Amino acid sequence: MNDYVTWRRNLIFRDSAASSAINVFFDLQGGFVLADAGQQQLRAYADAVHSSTPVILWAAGRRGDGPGEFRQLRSAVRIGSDQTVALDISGRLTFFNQSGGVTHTRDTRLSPAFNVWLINDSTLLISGRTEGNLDSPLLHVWNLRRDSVVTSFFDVPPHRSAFDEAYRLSGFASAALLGRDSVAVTFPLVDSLYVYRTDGTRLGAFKIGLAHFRPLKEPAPRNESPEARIQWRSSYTRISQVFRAPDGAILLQYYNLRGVEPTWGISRLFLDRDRLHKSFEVPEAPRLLGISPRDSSLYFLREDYLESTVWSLARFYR
Amino acid sequence: MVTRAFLPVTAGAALVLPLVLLGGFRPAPAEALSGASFGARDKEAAEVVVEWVIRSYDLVACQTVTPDLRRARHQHGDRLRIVTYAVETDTALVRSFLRRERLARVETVAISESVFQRDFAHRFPQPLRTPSLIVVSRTGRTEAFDAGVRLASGRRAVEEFRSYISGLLDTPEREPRSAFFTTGGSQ
Repeated sequence: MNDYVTWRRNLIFRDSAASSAINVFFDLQGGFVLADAGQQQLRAYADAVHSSTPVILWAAGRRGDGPGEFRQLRSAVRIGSDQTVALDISGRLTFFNQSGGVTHTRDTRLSPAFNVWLINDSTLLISGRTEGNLDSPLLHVWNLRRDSVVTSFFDVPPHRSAFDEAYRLSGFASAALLGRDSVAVTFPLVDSLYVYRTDGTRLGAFKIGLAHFRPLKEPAPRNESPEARIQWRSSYTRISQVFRAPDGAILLQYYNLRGVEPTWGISRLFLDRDRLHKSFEVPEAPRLLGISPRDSSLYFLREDYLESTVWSLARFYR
Repeated sequence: MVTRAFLPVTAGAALVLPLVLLGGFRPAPAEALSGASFGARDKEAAEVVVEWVIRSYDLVACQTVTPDLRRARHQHGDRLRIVTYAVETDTALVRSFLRRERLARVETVAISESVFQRDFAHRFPQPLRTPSLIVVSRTGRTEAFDAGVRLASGRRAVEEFRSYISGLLDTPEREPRSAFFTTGGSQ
């Protein structure tokens, strides 16, 4: 990674929650919010400009099924300046007001749900399956005024029936808004980038050509031995997340398992109308959590630190 | 001694033979293991020992108690000693799992099914299942908690586990676990 980024500073957390962060979003007014999958909490931190220790501002949520509670908190986004909406794996949206109270919840019926992105103040893009249906599209546009899905798109890519289990296990889409009305989409098991309009119109599909992408070749083992499953799961690559940087670059994160430990890879791409350029690919990188739209800082989780939770902030050289 | 919220038998027993055949498993010596946690080689600082009894099946589970153990470790530091007893499981795999879960300073001991049955399974009024958390205090007080977090009863037991340790070490949970709060800048 050192050939492509300059490391700016580390954030050293006083609490352990940041090591369970699965998604991070940035507040344009300052600070960032993480979805802590360990304690099922949203945790907001101020920018630690003059200190390496982020200061927690607030936390909301806990494990459970009631209002303000989560079975598996997946992600959250800020709507306007005074509302935060969090997505649970059950498909329930929980709306928090500026003072952190739960104002209301909505059941999207998208379950399991994996991630949420803000298209605009009245529209969310949600990754998940409709009522658990394995044949359902994987992305859904949720209208906040109508409290309903207005369109769904991105079907599970074609595959051999023998691979059904892997496609079910890894069956989610990641997305990154490219502008007001288009979105880049990935599926974990396919070395391709798809582009759609947010109304669901497909604009194109591009082979990425990741050098370290290992395609799925074997179906899941029939026996229930954990060792056999670990070996099988180590045999193929998953594209885990796609991000869009403020400079227009698309960052793609993937991982390969060695035993049960992931090795994260990252690739920087540029989409130029009908061509996808790969700027670089680093097969062993820290895990990217998010990109700040304020200053383009890349926020990495340093999994090599065991004793404390450390995030490293970096920027591209150019 | 009290046991809490035990779950039905896991699939673990069915895994023993294939694992042994795979050759990755190295059982511990046959001395009595559990309950000997405060032995001569014990860490001076440890006031509570947490014994986490798992099988290889737990290494591929969607959810485990690792966030709770990480939080307890963070909160109590070296006052807490964590030992993983891995039943018929390759310890290299367990150590790899612990690295992935970013759990530091955890000892790993491989035990055979027979040692599990002898030293763990019947130690409490109710049969001990895996995964479980056993908390041993310096006074010898011992409690077991279901660590099968995927079921609601197991999750409740894990919440009780954290509170129990905080009570033993007389350090309340640092952060409210429920309602929204504003800290004013401290943690």
